[in-house]
Amino acid sequence: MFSFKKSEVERVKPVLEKQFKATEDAQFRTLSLENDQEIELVYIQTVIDNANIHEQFFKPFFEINDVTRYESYLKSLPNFKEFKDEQDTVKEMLHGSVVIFIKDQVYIVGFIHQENSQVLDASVETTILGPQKALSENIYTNLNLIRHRYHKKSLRVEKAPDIGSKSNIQVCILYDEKEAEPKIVDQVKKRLDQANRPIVQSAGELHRALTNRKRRMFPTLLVTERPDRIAYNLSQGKVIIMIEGIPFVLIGPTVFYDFMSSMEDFYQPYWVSKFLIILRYVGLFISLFLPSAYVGIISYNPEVLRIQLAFSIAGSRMPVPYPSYLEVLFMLIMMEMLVEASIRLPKTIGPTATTVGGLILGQAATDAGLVSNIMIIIVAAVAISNFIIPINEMSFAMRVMKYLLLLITTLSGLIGLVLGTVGLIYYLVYLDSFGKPYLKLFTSRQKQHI
Amino acid sequence: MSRYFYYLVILNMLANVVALVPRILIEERVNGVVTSLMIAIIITLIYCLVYTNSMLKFPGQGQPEIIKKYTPKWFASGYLFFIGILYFLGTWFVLLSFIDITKRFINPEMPALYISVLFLSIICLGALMKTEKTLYALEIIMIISLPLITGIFLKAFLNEHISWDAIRIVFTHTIEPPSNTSIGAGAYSLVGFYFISIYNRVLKNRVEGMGVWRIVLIGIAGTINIFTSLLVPIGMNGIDGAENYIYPWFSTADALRMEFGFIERVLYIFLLLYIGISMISATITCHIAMEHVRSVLPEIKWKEVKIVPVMMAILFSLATILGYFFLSQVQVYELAKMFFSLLLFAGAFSCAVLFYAVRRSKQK
Repeated sequence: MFSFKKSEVERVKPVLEKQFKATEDAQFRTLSLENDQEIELVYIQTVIDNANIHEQFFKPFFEINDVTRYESYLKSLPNFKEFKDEQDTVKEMLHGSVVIFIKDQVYIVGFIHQENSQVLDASVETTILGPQKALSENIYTNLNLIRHRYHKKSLRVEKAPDIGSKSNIQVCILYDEKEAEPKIVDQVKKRLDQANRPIVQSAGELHRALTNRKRRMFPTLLVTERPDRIAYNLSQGKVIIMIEGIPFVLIGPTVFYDFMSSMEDFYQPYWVSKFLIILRYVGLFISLFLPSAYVGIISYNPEVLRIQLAFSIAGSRMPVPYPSYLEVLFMLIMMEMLVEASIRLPKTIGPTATTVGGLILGQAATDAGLVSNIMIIIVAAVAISNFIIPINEMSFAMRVMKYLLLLITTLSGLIGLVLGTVGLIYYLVYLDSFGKPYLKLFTSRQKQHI
Repeated sequence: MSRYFYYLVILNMLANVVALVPRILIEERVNGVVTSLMIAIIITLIYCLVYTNSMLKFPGQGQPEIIKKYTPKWFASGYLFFIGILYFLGTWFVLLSFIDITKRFINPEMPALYISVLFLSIICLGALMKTEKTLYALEIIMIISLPLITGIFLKAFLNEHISWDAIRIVFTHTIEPPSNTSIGAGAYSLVGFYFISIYNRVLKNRVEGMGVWRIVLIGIAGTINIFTSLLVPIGMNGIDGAENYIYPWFSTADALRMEFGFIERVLYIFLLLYIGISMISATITCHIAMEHVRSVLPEIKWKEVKIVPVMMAILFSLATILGYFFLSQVQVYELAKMFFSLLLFAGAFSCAVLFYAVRRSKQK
């Protein structure tokens, strides 16, 4: 036993020196007392709490003035960790630990400092009446936020292996032991083990690494920034995957309805929230089907509409010199450009772009006879209703889906629209999220049978 | 019973009352069709009682597993293959009529080959899904279309131009000898309960058996459904006029008008809804057919993909396309008559086989 312990420092020290000696911000400090007792501290200056290291490590050492007692002082520190092996020590150092050599033993104390631990305002999923704060970029701050919303002893926080062979990002999974199905928790852990990507920077990227399908259209895990949504999903037995440095978490398994629900639904009176949900689905249908229905009806079966309406559309299309699908495509692409531009532009230029774009699209295009007036209304309806979908990822997926439906309708008329819709339903039904059916009506948690 | 069972029964009722069945019934409208329908309903309900209750004795198992376990191998293979072919034929008829309907009513200028490929690609992909997933898709499509279709049926009945006298004439011919074809056609709209042969694998039923009152409920729904299918076209088009149409229901729907709304002609709503219904119906029957046939074929894998169902899908697609191009509408119609009558006997046979399996399972 003794011989093994003795080798600890001898094993670790050369490794650390080899790895970090050349790095400017790595520190190797030796402290000694009068009676020749010596300790050595190794740390990376830029990831630890540099302001307090003197207060926490150096000052007590000279005050205690005895190495053995200093050892027990270290053990009493909140983030004290047992030594495992060399590789682990290197990793701990990179994640903000201080490594201390005392006599023959190695101690590791977590002393992390992160600049980005302030809690951000909810900006992606805003609500009127709900909590206004979102997550922070620090995993511990986030845990704190969630624990304060979900006081239950069955809440489990587990550390998953770091993600990304290069970025080595810390990942935690959270679940309520009583509510979550063990099978799903195991599956999440297994998928996290298998996820291999050199660099993971965002929740969406981790989502891509977690699904075994390479090319995916619809989100099968929910990305959220709201602590209240996380707490609600924990109580529903979902598993939360938290990632260091990102103010978003992943929630799984999720079903289609999760992407259509806003936390606002819980904060409004029953009928109001039902109305909002219906509104959202109407929005979804409009943004998906309206452009294709326009093409299908105008170019294939104008007799579907009542005659007055058909005439007024035809009258409005009089100056337009090309078939309806080009008109739709032209306007939709312009609208998408506008949306993309307003996301990427600096905040100060943003309004200019939308005003200019709106003017061109709204008035000039019809005056020039490039598109019909009714088309403008349709594009506006599509653009607005697309943003009604509360979860961003789903709204983007539907944005793309619309073009597939448009393609099949352009090629085969209204029949293509119906077949495309059936195909879309089949595809959504076919998807799985951690073994749970993605789209299924009347899912209730009590009755798991079909 | 699980709600999905009722969806399956209702799906089959709806899917079959617009294309081939009403035409056969209307052709026999003055030859004791009411008696035929009554006989058809009673026979099918008896089949339903026997078949469903026998299947429910084997929770979580499909017909292939049961038959393979309790009958000799040569019989099981032949029988399951035969049943599979029957389901394929059912899908085939639905598809042929809907390809034709699409061409006639929606896109007359579109090549039939293109329409067939479009239909078949969606159906085959759907049929290759897992069994329970087809049920979820079925539920969604039913929830969307059922209220609208019921509305259209009601609208037809409440229409001021419907001639109740024409409908009365049908009933004056009640006491006349029934015909085999109309019994077969009438029974066909009720055979949705056979779908439990595969879906029993995933349906988690809360009850042990199928009670009499459930059968009566299904019977009432079926009676309303089949009489609507027969009488509304006669009421709208007249007792003589009804036989002039190949698809009496679509011509009837075209006689309806919606005064308030974007769409004036009910025909288009009806058509598009029915394309959806026929899609899911074809998907489900095709899925059942595939499950039956693949249970007797060896499992071959090619690069991790089970190849037998894919081959079946391709073969079936070819058969459908060839059928559309080489058979005239009249020939399909005559074949359908024979098929429906054949199903009556096949139904009795498969009830008997299943009953035998239940006896064997009790002996063991």
